[in-house]
Amino acid sequence: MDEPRTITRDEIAALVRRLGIENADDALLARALELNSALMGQLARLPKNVGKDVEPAHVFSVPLR
Amino acid sequence: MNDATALATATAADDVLAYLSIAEAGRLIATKKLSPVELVDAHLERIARLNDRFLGYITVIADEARAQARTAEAEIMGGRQRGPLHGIPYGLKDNYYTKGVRTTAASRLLWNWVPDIDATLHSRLQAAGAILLGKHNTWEYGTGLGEPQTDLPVPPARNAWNADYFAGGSSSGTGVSVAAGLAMLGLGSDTGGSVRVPAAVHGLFGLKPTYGLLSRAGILPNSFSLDAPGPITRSVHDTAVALEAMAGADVNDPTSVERPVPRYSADLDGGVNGFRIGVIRRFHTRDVSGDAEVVEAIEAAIEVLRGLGAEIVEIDVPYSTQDYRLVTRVIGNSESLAIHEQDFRERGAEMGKVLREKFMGSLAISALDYVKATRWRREMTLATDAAVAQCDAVVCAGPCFKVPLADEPEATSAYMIGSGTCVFNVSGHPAASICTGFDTNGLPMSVQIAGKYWDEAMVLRVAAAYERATGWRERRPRLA
Repeated sequence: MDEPRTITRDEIAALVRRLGIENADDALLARALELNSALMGQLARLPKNVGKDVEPAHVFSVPLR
Repeated sequence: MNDATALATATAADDVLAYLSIAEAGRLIATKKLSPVELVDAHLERIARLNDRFLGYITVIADEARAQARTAEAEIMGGRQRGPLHGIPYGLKDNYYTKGVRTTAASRLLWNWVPDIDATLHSRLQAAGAILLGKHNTWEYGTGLGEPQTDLPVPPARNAWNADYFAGGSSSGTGVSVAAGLAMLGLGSDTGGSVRVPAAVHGLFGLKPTYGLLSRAGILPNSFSLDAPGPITRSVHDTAVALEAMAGADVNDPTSVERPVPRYSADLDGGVNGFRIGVIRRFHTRDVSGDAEVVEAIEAAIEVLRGLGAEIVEIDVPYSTQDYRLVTRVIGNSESLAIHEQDFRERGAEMGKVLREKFMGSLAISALDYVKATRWRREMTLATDAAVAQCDAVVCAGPCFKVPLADEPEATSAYMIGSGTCVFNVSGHPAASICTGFDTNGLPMSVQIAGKYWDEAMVLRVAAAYERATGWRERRPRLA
């Protein structure tokens, strides 16, 4: 497992600006920081090295045709 | 007759009609002993009497349903019978497009939106002669993890067995409507358990089919690669009949698959003698410590199948429900934000708190995280398939806890997040929820039956054998 990444209020503010969210006030940024800080802990559970998947259909990893 | 007696008499009469199975109603209609008009009227009267309490429907189309019932009656009397669904009343989760009928997704953003096309599955049910009663309550855009969504334009649906308890989700209105006899068939959609969990909390049968078996065209998406539409019914046979009418490729859904559609209802009585049924216990023992009553009911269900002649074998997967859930979160939330980006940017304040915070809380998921999750999903899918492929069918936990009270957000979230349902959204296998009895609060418990890709027929056959052996489906909620 990776060390949990961290995220700052400035980084959240940059993401919000980049997405163009209207009316992003301090309360929204504070809540977004809280939620994404929790998310960072979860993302650390993604495996550091996922096996190389060279199948072209790997994104849709359910049976198609 | 006084008012109370009249009400009791009316209730008893429409109880009989509303709780017929689709097969029973179909036979009565086909032999002209029951009119679709009577059947639809009985349902509409129940909806008028009970919907304010249980909130299963957002929109009811009584006039249209009655007109369609008269047409069905005329066709049948004229000898033009379309099949076992002709004249059968059904409802749709309110994320299915319905031409000329508003489709709200329980959201302020769509509250007055009227599509100009029908969802493919709705069209197929209409072609089979089934009659739409209305649109079912849901969590906003079919999203959420059990947190009460009390700031939407319609309050949450309530459990038919006890209105104080959790109604599941996101196809909550579909579950309560079928359980309360307000529809004989309901269609929901399932991204992590949203068909199977409402079925579980209502003692119903809910099927998430193999990814690609049922068209998703005309269903508001939640997650492109995880969503699957599915029926909720009171019996396995009812689902089999509905599936026969709906399955098959659709040019409007490139992820649907061209395959012959089996007669799912034909083999339901074959039993399970000699079948190899795998049991995955880790979901309710290692990953989550399930409630004792729920675990006992799962073990009892396994013994029922053993008693019917199945060979029970222990199997395992190398991933936890938390792993599967994380993959669904990273993939599902990324795809969901991509779908709703413009609305989130411009109309986020009109969204309910749960939907808005789902997007706010996903801002930091990177493209690399998404691709990594899809690769991990591939590994999980292969490992899950390796386990499933050893057996004719698989039994494992869906929800691991007793149905919680609706106003306990930590408990309702734990109920959803701890469920083993998301495993099969990740892998794409067919999986169903079936009732295993009732807990000490009188609320239903359940287990999942899963199968090999495209082998819904086996899932249904195993479920039907269990259903016949136990008779849980005969119980009805006391709605008075």
